Amino acid sequence: MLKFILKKIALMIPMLLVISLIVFLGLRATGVDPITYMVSMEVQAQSPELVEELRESLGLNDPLLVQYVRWLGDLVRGDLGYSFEGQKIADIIAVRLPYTLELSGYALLFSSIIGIAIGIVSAIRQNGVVDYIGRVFAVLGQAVPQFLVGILLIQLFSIKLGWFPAANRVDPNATNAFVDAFLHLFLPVATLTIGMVAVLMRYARNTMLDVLNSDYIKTARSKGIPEWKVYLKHGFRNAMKPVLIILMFRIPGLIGGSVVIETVFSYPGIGLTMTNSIVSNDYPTVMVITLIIAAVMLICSFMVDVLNALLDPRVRLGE
Amino acid sequence: MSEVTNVSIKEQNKSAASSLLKKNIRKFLRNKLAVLGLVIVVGMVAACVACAIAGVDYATPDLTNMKSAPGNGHLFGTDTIGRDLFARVMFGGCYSIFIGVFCSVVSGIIGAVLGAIAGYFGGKADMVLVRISELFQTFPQLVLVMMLVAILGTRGMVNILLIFVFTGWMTTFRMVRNEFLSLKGETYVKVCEAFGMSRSNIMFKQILPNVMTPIIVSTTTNVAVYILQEASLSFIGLGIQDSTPTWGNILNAAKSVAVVTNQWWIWVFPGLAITLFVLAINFLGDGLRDVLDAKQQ
Amino acid sequence: MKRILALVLALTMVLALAACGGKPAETTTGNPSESSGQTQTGGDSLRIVLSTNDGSTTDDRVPTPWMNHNLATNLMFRTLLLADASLTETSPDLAESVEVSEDGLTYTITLKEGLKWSDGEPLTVDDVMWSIETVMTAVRRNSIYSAAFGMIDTMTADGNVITMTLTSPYSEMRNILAQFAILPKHCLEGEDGESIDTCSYWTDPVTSGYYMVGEFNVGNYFTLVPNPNYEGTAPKIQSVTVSFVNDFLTAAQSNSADFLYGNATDLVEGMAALDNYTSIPVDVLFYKYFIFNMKGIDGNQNEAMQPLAVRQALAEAIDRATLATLYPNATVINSGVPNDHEAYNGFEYTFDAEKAKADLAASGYDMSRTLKICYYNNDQTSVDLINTVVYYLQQAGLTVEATLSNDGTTDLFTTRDYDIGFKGLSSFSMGEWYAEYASNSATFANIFGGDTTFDAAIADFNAAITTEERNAALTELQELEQANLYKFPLFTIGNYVYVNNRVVLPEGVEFCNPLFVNDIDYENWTLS
Repeated sequence: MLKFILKKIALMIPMLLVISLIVFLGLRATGVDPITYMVSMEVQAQSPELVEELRESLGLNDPLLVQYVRWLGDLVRGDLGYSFEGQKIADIIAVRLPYTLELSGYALLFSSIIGIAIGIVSAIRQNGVVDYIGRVFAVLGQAVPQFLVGILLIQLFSIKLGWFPAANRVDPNATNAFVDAFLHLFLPVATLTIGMVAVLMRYARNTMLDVLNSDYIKTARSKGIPEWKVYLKHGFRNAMKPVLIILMFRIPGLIGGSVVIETVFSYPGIGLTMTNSIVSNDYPTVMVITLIIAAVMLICSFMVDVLNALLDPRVRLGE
Repeated sequence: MSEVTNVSIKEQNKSAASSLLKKNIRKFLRNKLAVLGLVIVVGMVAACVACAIAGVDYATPDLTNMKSAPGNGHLFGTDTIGRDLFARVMFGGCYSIFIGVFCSVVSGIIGAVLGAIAGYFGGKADMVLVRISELFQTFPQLVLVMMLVAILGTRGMVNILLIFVFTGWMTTFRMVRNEFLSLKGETYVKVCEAFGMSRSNIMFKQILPNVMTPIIVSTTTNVAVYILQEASLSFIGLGIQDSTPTWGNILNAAKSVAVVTNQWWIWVFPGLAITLFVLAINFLGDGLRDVLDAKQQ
Repeated sequence: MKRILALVLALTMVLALAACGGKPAETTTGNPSESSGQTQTGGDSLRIVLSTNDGSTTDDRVPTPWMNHNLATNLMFRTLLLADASLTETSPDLAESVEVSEDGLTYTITLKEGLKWSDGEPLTVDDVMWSIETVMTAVRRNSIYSAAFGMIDTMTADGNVITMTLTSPYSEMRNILAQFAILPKHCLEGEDGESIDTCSYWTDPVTSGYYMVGEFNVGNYFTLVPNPNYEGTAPKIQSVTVSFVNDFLTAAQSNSADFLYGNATDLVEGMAALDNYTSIPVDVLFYKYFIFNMKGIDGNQNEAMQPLAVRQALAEAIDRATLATLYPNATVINSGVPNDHEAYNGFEYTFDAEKAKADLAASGYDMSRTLKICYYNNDQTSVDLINTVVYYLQQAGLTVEATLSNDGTTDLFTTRDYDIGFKGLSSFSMGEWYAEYASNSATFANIFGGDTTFDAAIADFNAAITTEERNAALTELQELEQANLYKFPLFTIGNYVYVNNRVVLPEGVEFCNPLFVNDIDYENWTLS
């Protein structure tokens, strides 16, 4: 098992390298010149020699590969560089990443609890009232564009009712950090959860149905084992494996979703930073955030593999 | 009596197939949500295409008549510069549905073909393809959009189609690959191989039909996913240029808080169009799955 | 067993994700202010909002006052003189007096005695001279400062008196000095032009005004607490919170802002529906106009736009009066001089779709060519305006393509892949509008080819002291711009300041363009 895990971890490194290379070359291919962001038009026009000096000192005249290796070297040493706005990228990440993890973590937690619960009940009482209502609501949550849900929630709960703040994560006048966090997180987490519940619910329902229709469940039933025991012991446990996997696969989607939701809620997470940097062509920041997102995704897929291996020894032996 | 015995095996198969089809249709028709989904999808597509062919005017602004409520010759009212919203939503439907269908079909095909190759051949080919799929999976879509927009210099529809296809084939790929991995050990595959059937024949004519159900279902539901993604990209300002009236672009008016509070029709109708279509597609997908999935029969 | 282990593992992961986010790193600096009051009413703090949406502000530092002003920085940084709402009359602030010689070439600035920075260091002529010199090297600054201070020939200090000589008279110098925030040399002298407004100083700046930063919470807000070393009358409001928001209207609708401003249709319409805010129209020269991409400084010409007849025909095809209805309070203009100004020469661009068509045909413009429009404002009103203009030009028989630029300055002046650019300018004065025609303009020289046609008239305008001289120069400039048609003016749009009703303003307060600073009698603001 340990060998398997180590092997998987070792495979992540070349993946990250390839991604970093693609991002670096791809963003360079866009032809964005950092100088135009760092120096005003006026200075560029008046003192070209100063610009040339800056270009040389930044190493922008070196071959691309040399620049890439240098950037990577800095990265490995923990120097993430500076954004076009002059901020230390490490500082940006240190502040924003926890906010995003917080937002997506809660959304993942709530959507999996709610989604799996509705999914299982729907499957057990297939075509019953819960099944229909649950499916319609869950699918409705998935069908409305997330940003529209967010905008409407703000309109209703922040503006009409005044229950929750409409933006940011921390209130300057907050007296209790926990209450403040709850108030600020409620709407964005709810928006993300609404979007996620549908997927998980459908998936949980479908796998549960598969399991319930399978032969061994039928056998278990025929043996006279009580229904609840059948569901819990055989149904739930077997249905959870693919659901867990899809859960892991939703994490990247969650990060993508939080990009949009953070924009709607002016939530100062990494998604908002990503959107802003992309819109303003701030590619040093984009490169680092891309790598972080890629790393998160790789870790998720690593987890999926480990889970798979734990649940199904054949996978491990097959490798 | 003799008539029955004279029926050839081929015809027997045919009649068996047609009775299976009939059975499936009956089963589908019993699923009310799925039928509703199908009706809505067909209805909306027909309406959008009809309007586009009829050449409704979606582009002429009328600043003396902007933000007017539904009525007065404008079924859905007018938008922020007085263009007819009904025409825009209908025309937008053509674009959005095209994006959804095109991307899900193309990415479905790519995913299925690569998945078949990886699953059937295994070994090096499999490893390389799996790595590539992981690479695409880990790559944030937004960054790809940004790079393509910057490199190509336009925010055209081609960009969006390319990106959605590029970043969308992996789920089908994984699914098909896994099915192939387990199916290639089955006896009938071994028999085909023993008969000396060509590999492509075995892959696409013998094994693939057994995997068609999940492919069809996922392709159907992916249409909805791409329509929603297009809307999200438009919202953060990275979608197709504003002059193209996709549903996402029309719905962008909801960015303006004043529009959300004062002119409900400007965002409700495109929002409703997206929601209804996505819902219908999902119901349809569920229905198809219930009907086609052999395990449930 | 393995399955249970797997379940546990998965659950821990989910929980860990939630938990590690649960306590985001504390990122506050400085001395935390006393937190009090409830979320919705703001208690006894004045609540200011800064927009992170317009690209001028990032949410991790105090924005530099050398670019644009805002209420928050106005309460922290002082200028030598204090302007009134018209931005033309000034009264003393850091300077006791600023005397100008008869010929307009020598300025004598006498600084007040005993001024101190918030950290207790004395504020001296060194800080003033350093600030004036340093703004010229800053990579992000408002061009009004470089235009004015570029005229300075020599600058010497003696005690608390600075003597400044100019190379040629610059009539707006006093008004510019009334906008220019003095920054502490002892904190910033180690920085270069690139880092001067991005360095760590800006999360807890040493200030000269009423307040200094209490607590800075990156991404969310900062608070202002009284500056103990402020020598003037202390403000009645004891604390201020400044929040970074995406959208002013949402902040106002959720009643979490006391002061905001804007000109977007959205905002004005939305604010009109709120009865807990007072709307105050402000007199602002906010120009909206089209620019033609003529010729690079390298001589690289955009052939299609060269004939004057083509540009005139394009102007005829656009109905500005109708476009103006997209904005809450837009006034059509025909030059940099508003139509109601006494120096306006009466010329008018008239809309005539039929004539435009005929003139385009006569001009020899290649109708099969795609006309490219470039714009960079992505608010709904700008998008609407561009879509309407595209429609007008299509009616004139043109094929038109409009592109939203993510980086206006680069695309308009460096990439230059367009024929018509859509631009806005929140102008300090008419002088700023005409300075764009100058052959040495850092930006516009790239699209007007460094044409020297306007230079003499601009110099006349800058040197004009009396109203007659000024008006004469303006007449000359208007004729030149209308004859050349490099910029096609659309309209000026009205700006509004919104003040929450819980703020009690003293009698007679007037606001200027919110991107600049004037005397708003802030000491006497109170909260009810």
